[in-house]
Amino acid sequence: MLEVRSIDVAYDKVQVLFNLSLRVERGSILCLVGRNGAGKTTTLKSIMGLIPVRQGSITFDQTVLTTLPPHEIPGSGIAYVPQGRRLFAELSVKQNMDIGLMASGAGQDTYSSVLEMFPKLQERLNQRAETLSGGEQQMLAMARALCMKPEVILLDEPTEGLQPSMIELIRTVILQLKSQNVAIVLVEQHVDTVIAMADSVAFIVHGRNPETISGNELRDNPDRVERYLGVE
Amino acid sequence: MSTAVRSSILHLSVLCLLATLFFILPEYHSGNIARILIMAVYAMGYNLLFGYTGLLSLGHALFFASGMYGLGLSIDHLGLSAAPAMLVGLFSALAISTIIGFLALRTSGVAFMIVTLMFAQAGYLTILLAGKYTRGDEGFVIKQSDRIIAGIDLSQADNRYFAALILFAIVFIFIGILVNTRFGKTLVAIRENSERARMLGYDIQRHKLIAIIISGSLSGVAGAAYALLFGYAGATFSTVQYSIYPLLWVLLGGAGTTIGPLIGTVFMTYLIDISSEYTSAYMLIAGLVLILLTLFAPQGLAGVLRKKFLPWLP
Repeated sequence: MLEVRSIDVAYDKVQVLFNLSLRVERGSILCLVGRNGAGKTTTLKSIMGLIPVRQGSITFDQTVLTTLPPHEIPGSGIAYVPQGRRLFAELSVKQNMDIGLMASGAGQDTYSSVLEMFPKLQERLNQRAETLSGGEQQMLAMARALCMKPEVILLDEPTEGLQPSMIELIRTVILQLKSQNVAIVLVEQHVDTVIAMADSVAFIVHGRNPETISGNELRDNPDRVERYLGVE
Repeated sequence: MSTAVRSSILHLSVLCLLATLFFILPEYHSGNIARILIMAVYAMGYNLLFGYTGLLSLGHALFFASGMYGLGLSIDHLGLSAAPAMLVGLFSALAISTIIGFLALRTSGVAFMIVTLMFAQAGYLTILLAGKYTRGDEGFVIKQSDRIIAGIDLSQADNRYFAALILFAIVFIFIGILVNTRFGKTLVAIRENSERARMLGYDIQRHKLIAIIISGSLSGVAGAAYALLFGYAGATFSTVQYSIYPLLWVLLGGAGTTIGPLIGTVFMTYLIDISSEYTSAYMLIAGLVLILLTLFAPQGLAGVLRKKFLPWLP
């Protein structure tokens, strides 16, 4: 289980997260919902150790992540797919995936099973990442993260800017990961996706988490998402 | 045919071609090629850091000079023979690149360039200030009797050519293998997006430090070999000009390719050599060609080949 306990995070003197707490179990999806600038991406970066936590702690099972250097956090079973994909643009699809495989020490089985999830990438193995379409790049970003055999995956707006068929594919993969007992933290602006997939929803407002509700509560009262997102 | 097989064939063909050239070319050119091969070793060392890791150093002349003076001074003052003096040259460069790497990696980007440049300048001034031992600007000659390894006189043109070729071949194959290892692929990931590589669990600083040490050591070996084969060690080789040369060779030939440093070194050496026959303003011609290549082939000659025709080119 991944648990964020009462963390304070700041960029220099500007504090952006205040006493924020979250929790996600294996085989479940926690959606982070909030307006732009609310602190969702900062939360994910804090979990990955990319921004130091001033107070509070982040733990995954028995491991205290806040005491680890950033490069050791993925080794504890946590993968991060950042917003904007951040691929190795000049490298081929296969080389991008190899770098994920090397990081985890995973073998051919993992490589094959990841490609089964994204058959389109199979046709593009030798193509440079920068020449892929937006949807294919997103697939590759997720595929590379999955090559690390994560137990927790942090997804920052994976459906942003994608066409409906691609969004559907990404959703299918997320549900597949959930069924494989992976814990998923999903930052998402698509209300439909949040309502359809979330097991729990943490609202983030100005770096604080005023409430966390279950997916069922949200489905009974979907207006709550729109209220926090500021959608009329 | 797999990429690995194609790559091996390419590497071996280049080595065979270089071995054959000695028997075809007139003595003047085979002497030139021997010099080019040593400088290509220097460029390959530089390429590992710049082309594969994405770190732009302006201080590699310090590593080259460390090898050169490590060998030269240990022969001149300690009376060592050529083989152990080569090792002294190698370890001098290794030690200095470790220290410089450790300090310079506290910075990045432009600051890294400036810090490496400053260290190299400090090295140059140290050589001048220690003129009692280094003979300052003038440098010193390594006697013919000291340039013998296992009974082979390296001052002879044929021995010198093949010694340069053997060193080149070792480093060429070493780099070809290294860039395909897990370590080499990680360097490329760091070059492409170091933050992303860190998020995937790679220790960026450690990899960069190792890259600087290997790169510096190879540059040092080139410096030591240059002194041994051509019998001279001088402060000129530690000037900023000799830090910029490998950058130009690598840029011209193709950064991040195994063959690029050789192509760049051959191209630039002969460009200057040929143009200087016609005009004293040969550096103007070299500069113009550099500008054109940078504008129309920013990936360098081997980079263009890889992008347009040979995607498997290592």
